[in-house]
Amino acid sequence: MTARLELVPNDRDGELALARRASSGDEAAFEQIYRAHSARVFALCIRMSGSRQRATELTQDVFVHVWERLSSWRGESALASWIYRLTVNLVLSNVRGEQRRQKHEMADDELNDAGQSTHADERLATHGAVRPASIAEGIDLERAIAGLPAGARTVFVLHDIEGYQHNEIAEMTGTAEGTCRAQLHRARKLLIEALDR
Amino acid sequence: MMHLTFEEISELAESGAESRHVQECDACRTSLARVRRLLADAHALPREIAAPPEVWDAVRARVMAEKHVRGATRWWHNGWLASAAAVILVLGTATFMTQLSRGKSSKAKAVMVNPSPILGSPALFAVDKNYVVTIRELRETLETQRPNLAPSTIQTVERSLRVIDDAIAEARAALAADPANQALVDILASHYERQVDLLQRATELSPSL
Repeated sequence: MTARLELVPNDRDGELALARRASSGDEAAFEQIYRAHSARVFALCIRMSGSRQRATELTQDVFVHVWERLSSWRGESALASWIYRLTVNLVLSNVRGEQRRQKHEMADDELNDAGQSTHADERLATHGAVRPASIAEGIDLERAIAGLPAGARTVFVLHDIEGYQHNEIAEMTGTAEGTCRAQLHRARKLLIEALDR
Repeated sequence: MMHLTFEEISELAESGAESRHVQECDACRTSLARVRRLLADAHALPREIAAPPEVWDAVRARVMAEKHVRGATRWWHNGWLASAAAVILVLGTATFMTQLSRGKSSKAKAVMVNPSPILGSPALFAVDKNYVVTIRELRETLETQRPNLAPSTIQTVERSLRVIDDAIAEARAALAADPANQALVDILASHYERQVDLLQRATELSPSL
């Protein structure tokens, strides 16, 4: 039986040891990594994709990727940062693929309108981890975020919830920094309008 | 009075800065307060949402499947090594069996049970070193006793040796492809142990059997 390594913030050596064990096939070590990071990954996937069902699939994909690439993580950044960056890239790639597919099915405006109610209703049924003091506001905001057009939602989640900087988001999304800012302002405007209704 | 655009108000909210216009304009001040409230609410959203339990089950299943596929792929890519090891050991075993049946001298057999030099690696060398000499001596002893053993006993011993030789060939090829894999070292050693055990039992058999 292998010893359990405790993950504590900034314990880079512990993270490296755990990652080495996991990448060499230690299932218990890999499960420990999953338990430590899956909730944050799942939250990110829900908010970026706007769908619990897709978030469930994406979270699976993320951790399969983590397992495949863990040996390439050398500890330059925190394991959490590495995993969340991988999550963002994978979700963005998935969203882009989905958008390409849907472009063949409907116009962009129709896409946004059609996505709002479905995603919002689905999201409303999913959240149980909101702070008690702001359950109503939290759910309303979550539903409104889910109803945003994909580009605006991505930038809002990454900037205003996850705390990424505009230059980082521009790099991740492959767009200009100015475009990111414009998407963020658009998202905030749409959210305020939605919440004021 | 000209009002600020939403983009300007949004930038102000993000920077935390104030402006003289906002102090004097109720409409823009209200808009700024709304954006700041939105940002505060966004920051207050939970950063973690527990994934459904079935997600880990699915991840685990996919990782296990990936491992299986990767293992098969590694065998495919190193198929020539596996083939080479199998051919050498099968030839070695076949030659040994032929010589055993013909009752030739034991000198030639030292060559046939030597490990293949093309598969040499430190781990492989270390395991081979522990067993090859012992196995060769046991085979020589067995050959000297062959005339005293019943044909059915010889057949049983030969069949068992072939099975173990195949297992050793597989383990050697896998270890040649993945020399740092301790599990493969253990597997190879266990096959050699089985072979030593079988040969010892065979050499201790009573002639009446």
